[in-house]
Amino acid sequence: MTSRPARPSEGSAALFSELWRITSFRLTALYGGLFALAVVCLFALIYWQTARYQNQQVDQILRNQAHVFSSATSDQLDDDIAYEIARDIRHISFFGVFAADGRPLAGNLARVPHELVLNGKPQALPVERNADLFAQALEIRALGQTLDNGNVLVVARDVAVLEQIRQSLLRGCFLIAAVILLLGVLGGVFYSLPAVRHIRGIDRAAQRIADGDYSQRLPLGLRNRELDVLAQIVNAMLDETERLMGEVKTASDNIAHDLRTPLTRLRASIYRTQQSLEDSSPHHAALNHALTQTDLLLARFRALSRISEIESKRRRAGFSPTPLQPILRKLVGLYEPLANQGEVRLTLGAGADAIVDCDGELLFEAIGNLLDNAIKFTPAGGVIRVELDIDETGPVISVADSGPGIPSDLRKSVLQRFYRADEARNVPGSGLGLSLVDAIVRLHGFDFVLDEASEGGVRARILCRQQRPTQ
Amino acid sequence: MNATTSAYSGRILVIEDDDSTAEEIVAELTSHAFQVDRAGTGNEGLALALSSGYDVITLDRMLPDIDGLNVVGALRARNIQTPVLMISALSDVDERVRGLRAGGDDYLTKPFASDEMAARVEVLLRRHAQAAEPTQLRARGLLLDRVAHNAFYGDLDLDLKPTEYQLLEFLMRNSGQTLTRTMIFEAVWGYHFDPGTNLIEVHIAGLRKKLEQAGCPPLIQTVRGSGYQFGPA
Ligand SMILES: Nc1ncnc2c1ncn2[C@@H]1O[C@H](COP(=O)(O)OP(=O)(O)OP(=O)(O)O)[C@@H](O)[C@H]1O
Ligand SMILES: [Mg+2]
Repeated sequence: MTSRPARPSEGSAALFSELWRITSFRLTALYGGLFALAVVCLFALIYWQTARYQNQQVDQILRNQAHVFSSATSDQLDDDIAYEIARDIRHISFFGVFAADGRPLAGNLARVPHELVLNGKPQALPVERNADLFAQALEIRALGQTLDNGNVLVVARDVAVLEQIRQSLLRGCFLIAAVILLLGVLGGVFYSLPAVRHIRGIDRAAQRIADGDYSQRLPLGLRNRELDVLAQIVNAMLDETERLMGEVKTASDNIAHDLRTPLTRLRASIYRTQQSLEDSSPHHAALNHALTQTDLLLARFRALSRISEIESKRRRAGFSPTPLQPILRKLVGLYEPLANQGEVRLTLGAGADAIVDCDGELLFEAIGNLLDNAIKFTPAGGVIRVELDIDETGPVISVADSGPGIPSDLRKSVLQRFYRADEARNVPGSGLGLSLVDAIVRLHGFDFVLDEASEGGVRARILCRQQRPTQ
Repeated sequence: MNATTSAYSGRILVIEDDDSTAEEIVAELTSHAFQVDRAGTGNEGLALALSSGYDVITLDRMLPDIDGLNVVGALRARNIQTPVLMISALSDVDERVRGLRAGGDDYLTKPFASDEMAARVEVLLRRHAQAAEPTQLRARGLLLDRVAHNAFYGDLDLDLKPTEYQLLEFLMRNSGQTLTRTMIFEAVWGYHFDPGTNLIEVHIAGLRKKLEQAGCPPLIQTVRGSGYQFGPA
């Protein structure tokens, strides 16, 4: 089990950043934003068109009125203006007739508005410069023209309605844009949450595969078609990898199995030859050597078969609740003479006992292999500490030594069959011990961790998780 | 050291369907001065075992007609207590347990070293021949007290640790017989995996040292290529 990178699963900010990595969320959010922008543009267009149309209407009215007034006689003009003012119940029309010196002659305007160009064309008037004339008006369009008699005619109209239209358009525009954005984000979240969950599932499965569990497959989601296509491709690759690895393993297991019988025969004939020799025969040494080598080979093949036997074991038939301390005591008793021979001190830490559902015989064998390694690799004068602790995950069996240790980058490799570190060349062994330990630990659903002991050497731990693994 | 020096000859029934394995077993046991009969099927073996008294039976677990487990079961059901050495290609620990539970007395997985097979047969034979377990075992002034779980040389208390006592007891009970490392490991520690060469050797060395310190003559011999044997050289 390797340490995992911190997963951003807590906090809404973290969730958002995780959502942001999902394409569908980004797309929905982007579409929402674009749509809102389009709505704003549409509203702007509507406003612009309405304003233009409104202005054209107003300008036409102004031109018409100016035409009517300018073609009337002086007496008629006063009456016409009075009539128009009376008719204008909304108080949006302003009229004025002024003498050439600016004196008002008729109408409801006190003076000629500032900045009005007397060219007979409708124009916008700056309201703020003429506040005294058009008290509450927001926007004024006006037309001024010099009459034939030298008088000045001014027709003006409050186009407040335009401003009202603009404001309600603006308000509507903001409201709708906000609703669209909100819907976009909500929709994005709605569509992307399953994807987030799916990706987390993929992440977990990928971690387990990276940890060496090749039976894991990436989960398929419900809606994420693109992810599913990818996951299916990866799963197919994993199927193939698992099949190939299985084939390689089966092939090597078969070789180991098939070679055992002829090797046993070979050993038997060497043995018989040796037995038939006179005690004083000079060939004893050579035959002994041959016998030892054959035994080594046989032991190696036996170990290989044993590992694959344990790996393929699905049943938990030999499992029963087993106290661990007696196993450890027995182990220390078994290995103590070997440790003494290597001038290494082997100690068993005093601690509480723990009962674990396990195959006691296999667990004994696994810890025995750890002790064998510790004794083998720890130089004279060193110490080996066997301990049983209980932590949150359950009982932990640890074997720590003061030997050279295993560099952290090799801690995964040493679990492979036949792997031996370069430094181990001078120490007898075939590199199968830890593979066997790993197989036994896996069968139990426990965890096997190699790290550094406080004494400087290897600390090998078996974490006996109590909950039953799902098999 | 010679393979034919065994003092305990007896009648052995080999129930084994594979010809080459059977030949190997028969040859090895014959060379140990046993009188050997062979049966190729379970029924034939059962009939032979029921009709004439054998001292030990070696029984293949996988026979063409009946399962080896049922053969032992049938024997035990007829109250025939002949020791049975089960031989099987199934090395799974559970298989061993099943074999022993069905009434087998020992279990050996294929492929096996024939000397180990013979050694196991001899141990079974010896165990069966000893009608009552004596409370004391003696050899050359060495006395094993099976009540006090200790040993003495002359008046000298050897002060054996429990494992040392069990080891010496196993050796002395099977005095004169070759005992392989695996057999010792199984008998003294009760486990069935490969203990490696050194592990048992250091325990033997420790026991030898204790005996030697007490002035006892060397009684534990190393059998080249096989294991150990208790008895005068
Ligand atoms: N306690 C340890 N101290 C230092 N190195 C170790 C220790 N345990 C294992 N190793 C390294 O890991 C390698 C693999 O160990 P493993 O037990 O699988 O094989 P081995 O002990 O060399 O052979 P085998 O166990 O088959 O007799 C060793 O060769 C060694 O390099
Ligand atoms: Mg090892």
